[in-house]
Amino acid sequence: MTTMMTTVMTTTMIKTTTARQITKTQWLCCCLAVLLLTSPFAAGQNNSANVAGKWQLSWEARLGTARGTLQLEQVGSKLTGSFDGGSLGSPKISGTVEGKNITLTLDFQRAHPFTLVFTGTIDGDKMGGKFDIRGVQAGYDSHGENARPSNYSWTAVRQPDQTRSETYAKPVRSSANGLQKVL
Amino acid sequence: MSLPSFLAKARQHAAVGVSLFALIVNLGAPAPAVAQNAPITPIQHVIVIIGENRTFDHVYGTFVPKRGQTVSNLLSRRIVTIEGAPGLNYGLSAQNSATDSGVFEISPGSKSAYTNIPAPETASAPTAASDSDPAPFVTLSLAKLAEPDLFPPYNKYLLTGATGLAHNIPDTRIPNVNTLGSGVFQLTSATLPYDSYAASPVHRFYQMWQQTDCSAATATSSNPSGCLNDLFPWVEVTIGAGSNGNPPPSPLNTGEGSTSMAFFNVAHGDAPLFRQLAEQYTISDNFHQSVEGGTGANHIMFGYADALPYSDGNGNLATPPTNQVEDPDPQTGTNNYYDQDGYSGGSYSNCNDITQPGVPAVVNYLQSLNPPISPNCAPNAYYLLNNYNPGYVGNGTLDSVYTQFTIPPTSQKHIGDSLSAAGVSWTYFGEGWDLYVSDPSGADPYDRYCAICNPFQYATDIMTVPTQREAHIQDTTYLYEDLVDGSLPAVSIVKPSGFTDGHPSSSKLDLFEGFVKNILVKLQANPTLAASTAVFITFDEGGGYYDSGYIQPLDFFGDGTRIPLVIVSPFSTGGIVNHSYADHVSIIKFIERNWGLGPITARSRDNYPNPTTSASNPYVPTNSPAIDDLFDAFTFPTTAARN
Repeated sequence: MTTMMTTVMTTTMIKTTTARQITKTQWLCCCLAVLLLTSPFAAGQNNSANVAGKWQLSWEARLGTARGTLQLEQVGSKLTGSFDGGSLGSPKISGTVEGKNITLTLDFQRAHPFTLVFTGTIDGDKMGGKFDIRGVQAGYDSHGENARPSNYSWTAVRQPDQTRSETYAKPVRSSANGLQKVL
Repeated sequence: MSLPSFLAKARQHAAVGVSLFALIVNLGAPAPAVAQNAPITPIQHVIVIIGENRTFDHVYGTFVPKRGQTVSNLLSRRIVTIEGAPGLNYGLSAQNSATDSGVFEISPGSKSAYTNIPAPETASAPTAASDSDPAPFVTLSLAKLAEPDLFPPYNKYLLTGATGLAHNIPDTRIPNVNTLGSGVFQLTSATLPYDSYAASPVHRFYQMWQQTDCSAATATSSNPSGCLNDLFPWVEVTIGAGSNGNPPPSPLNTGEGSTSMAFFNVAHGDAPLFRQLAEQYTISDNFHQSVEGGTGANHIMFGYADALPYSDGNGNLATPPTNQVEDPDPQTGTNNYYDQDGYSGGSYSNCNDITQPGVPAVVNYLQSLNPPISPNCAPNAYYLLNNYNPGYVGNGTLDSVYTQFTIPPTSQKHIGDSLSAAGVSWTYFGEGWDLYVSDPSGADPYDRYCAICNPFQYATDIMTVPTQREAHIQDTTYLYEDLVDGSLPAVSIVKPSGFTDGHPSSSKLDLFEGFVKNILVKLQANPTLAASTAVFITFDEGGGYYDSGYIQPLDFFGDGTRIPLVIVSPFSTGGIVNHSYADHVSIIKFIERNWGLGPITARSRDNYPNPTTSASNPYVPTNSPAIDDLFDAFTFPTTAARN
């Protein structure tokens, strides 16, 4: 994952900047970024599972199964990313990974903001556990069609990540002048 | 009128096929000729407000009518005193345990009277106020944001009433909880005020058939259905809300105890708005839930005057998955713990097939009555008897995407079709609809819209046509605008959210009072509109609470226990108590008669005649099956047409 992120970053810089436009300062920043991202502090180097990438997230809500596409980015143990929940909207994503344990927070900025907090464990290309709702409620048992919060569960399954595949499909190499080029 | 409201109104008229001229009329412009059925009474608008889960005796058990009026309730029958203590005839409410370990029976044997009913428990009633798991809430501003439909003085009740007790234990707020006697008990006391959350009793189809304990062998002239209403706690503690196909847990504790036997004391301060309305307007003491059981099937019966069968979604009958078919036969080695029944289990029955589990007990009983009652079950039709989600979500896509416990879409005709064909405007106003449309799975915790309560959300002809959806299903915010500007549809069906519907455990009766009050205040602030509007305030069902009233079997599906009905209009004043036998479909019959509509289908319940009764007993129809159209609950000017 670290390699992928480094590649993406470097590739982006090169795509948007010609060699003649790169200043010495910019070049130093680029090198520093590469060093940081390949350091032991980066994801995958702290014994935490690597969850970066695309996931299909689903959870048992009041009236049925809610679903959406989760795109996670991981730096060390910290998670950021995006979530496409259709009409539910696109909440702000944050979270942490500690070993195989994950906590993921989705902040929905709808008419009435609310926050879902997912906790669980990672098992390869799957993860899951329980979630709760902060801000307001979770329990709702009036018509029996839904469970109490203690029964709320979620799962996520890793999806093919086109962005990642594309990046891997375009390896880079150092050129004669030290710059990297996209092949 | 705001722009969105104007657009909604425009869609409403376009959808019912009325001309642009009719829209102009509704906006107050000069009125050209309108091709729509005119009402035959001064009632030009009907508003039906449907709360949740209270029987007549539970709310009005100690109601004292004005001089010259009579009422049949716990007090008048001397089951309790006006203080709520046991009365001379307390034994009429006495409950029994029983034994059912073979096949499902609606009147099982080996009955044994309880000395003391099992202690009422807390079930899932909220332990404490919490903004992360309300209601009740801790923060008023948050509560008002989540629930904007209360008359403002009632907002404070969004913060109060938690039990202070753990779930599924005896509710020790009730004095002498372990020695309550054999029958009904007053729920409220110094330690359990009216403004309290409490447990919700079971209210499912086969369970309620057992609780009411009906048998031709116990029929009398004053109680020709032979329903004894004496197995309420036993069903609560032996099966509760169902097995979902699982074996019984050990130990078995449904968490309810005898919650069903509780009543409010309206003579001593409980349900003050319901008391005031009863004293000022007209109530019925013979109005019934139309289906034995719960929310979904009763709202369906209201919309279709019939039950809905499982189908392929294209109008063809089909067989549901095995684990969705009801099997209330007791599991081997248990006393009444059903094989397959529950909110994520059995909910359909093919009641035309006498070999199906549960069916013979009900059908044989109906056939044993004098005169026999037809089950009215079509061949090969698996009818939905309990709560499953409707066929569609708010944007018209299939609900089965979100949950397997969904009845496929229906093409069965409903009251909306009758109204639209006659050019009569109508709208279902569901609180929280707008939020729900963007949140079909209910992931948004503020989304307490009741999907199973909307009869039209099951219907293909409404849900798959955007103009129909937008015209006929709207948020209550539009109702409030309509009340202000006078653009109310002829027929409005209003459903509160889960916070305010009055359902025990998840809501409180005072919150439903606050929801009702909000509408009445807005209506009465528009005198022109109020002069031509009748408001029917009722409940979807009795919620599994005990009631002492007569039950008339109409078909396989019901009726069930009595529920409150209050009729607020200028033509139903004076504190009258109407005794005519009625149920949810009676409101449909009122609408049909007022606007000159025929029955919905050839087999729907609105085909039943108005009751005839003997001089000595106004409660029991002598021409059963019969349900009233409620015209006799009004006093119209003599110049008004009376068909």
